[in-house]
Amino acid sequence: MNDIIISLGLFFLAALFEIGGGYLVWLWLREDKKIAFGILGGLTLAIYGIIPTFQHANFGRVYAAYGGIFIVSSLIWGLLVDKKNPDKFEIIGAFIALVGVFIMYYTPR
Amino acid sequence: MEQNERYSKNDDFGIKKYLINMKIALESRCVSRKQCFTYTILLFILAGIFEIGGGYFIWICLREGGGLPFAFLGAIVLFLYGIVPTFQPADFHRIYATYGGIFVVMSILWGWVFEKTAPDTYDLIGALIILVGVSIIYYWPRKDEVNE
Repeated sequence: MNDIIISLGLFFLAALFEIGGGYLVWLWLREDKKIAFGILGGLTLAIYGIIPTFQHANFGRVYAAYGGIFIVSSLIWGLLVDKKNPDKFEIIGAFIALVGVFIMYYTPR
Repeated sequence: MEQNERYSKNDDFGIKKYLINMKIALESRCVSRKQCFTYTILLFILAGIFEIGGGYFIWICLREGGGLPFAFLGAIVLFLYGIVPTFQPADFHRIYATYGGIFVVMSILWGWVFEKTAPDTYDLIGALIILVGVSIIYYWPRKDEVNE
């Protein structure tokens, strides 16, 4: 159980760094902020790249499962940052994606 | 062209001007809805290559003892990944889920090709279920939207 909580925590931490880093680069290029934003975004993305290496599974499985977490995280990010409430089907789709993540990543082999 | 003016305030060494001219040139070809969709999907695949590739270089450094140059290379590629979504047309909140789906498929393929780890049954079932979720997010017809 602890393993599941730790790896889920790592997945969502990775998503925070990925979306956060991407957002900083976006601010630099699309919102005309200074290059410091771009550099900070690049560093944040590099840290994002380190986080999945703490997972136990092989590369393909770690990244594929992370893709499912990313879908959910994008909707949460949209809700918190862009104040865009997910509609019913986005919530249902996100839950189904999470089921897929659990089967892929947490089925005991 | 108004975008050119928007970018002129903090034009870091001409990087922004260069990028925005590239974006205008690319978007001028995206005239129909269908072409726009292709353009968007190609950008997502490019983003996936940079993101998974950058992550893979850092993975090689930390998990497979590949040495620091791999980590630096990975960091640069991940930075490039961050630039790719800025080429997306502004209105793309829901297609981000599509990127999630593309990402899942590309990750499995990447691991298969470069790490020789073929997906097992549960990987495939899980991936299919994730794609079902993505399809619902993206393709489920909404009342408030006009189907074109």
